[in-house]
Amino acid sequence: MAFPTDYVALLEKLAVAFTRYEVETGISPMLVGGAATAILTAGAFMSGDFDIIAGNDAAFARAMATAGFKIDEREGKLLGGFYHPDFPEYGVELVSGPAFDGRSDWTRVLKPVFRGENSLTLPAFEDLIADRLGQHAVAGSGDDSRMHQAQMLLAMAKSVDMDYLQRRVNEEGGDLGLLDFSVLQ
Amino acid sequence: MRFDFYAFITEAEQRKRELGLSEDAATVEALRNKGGTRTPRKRAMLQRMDQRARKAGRKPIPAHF
Repeated sequence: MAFPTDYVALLEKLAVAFTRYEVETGISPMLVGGAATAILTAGAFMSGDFDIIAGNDAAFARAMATAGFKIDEREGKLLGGFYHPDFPEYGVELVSGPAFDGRSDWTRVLKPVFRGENSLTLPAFEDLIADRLGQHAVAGSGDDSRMHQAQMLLAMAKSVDMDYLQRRVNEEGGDLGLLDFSVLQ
Repeated sequence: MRFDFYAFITEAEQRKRELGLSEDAATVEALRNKGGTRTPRKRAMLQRMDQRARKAGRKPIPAHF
């Protein structure tokens, strides 16, 4: 499944906001969860809701406004959510941080650059795999989606730092034994 | 690590083909969160996204909520 054109266009808008936020605060927001997984698996599945961690809510709101995003309001209450009027089928939500409870190594983050200018910040493959396996561990029976996502991420990673991956999976409460590492060969 | 998004996607698509990874509907659905552990806030957000898309005449992004 290739990314729809409008999905990439939305990512470009989001990268504008990330860059604006980083200029103002000195640190980038981080896109996590299913949307980060969808990007790093090149659209193996689609996730229309974007979970973002940013420590400064006000600065993030200003950055999002700069990129044309609107506040997603319901019954007059601000929910920490945003949408872009050109892409109404998608939504952005701030989630509480720090990312992975501060256990991830920030020097490993991934920064895809759009049009040579603006970038998003995504977790390292190892952190996202660990997060997915941790989510799988607490998911209800009959929902293996996060395990499949972890496996797909591993396939896309090409190589991983095994010591770091094992540590992070343990910290997130996942089971490394669920992964088939033959995809790295 | 900084890298070009468009080049990454091209390489990732090629890797999927090399590994023979299926992208049929059943595989895509297997990757999709079934929604059982979503918070009420997230369910409401997904519902608003769905409603905004329909109101604008756009196809909602598939999601369980």
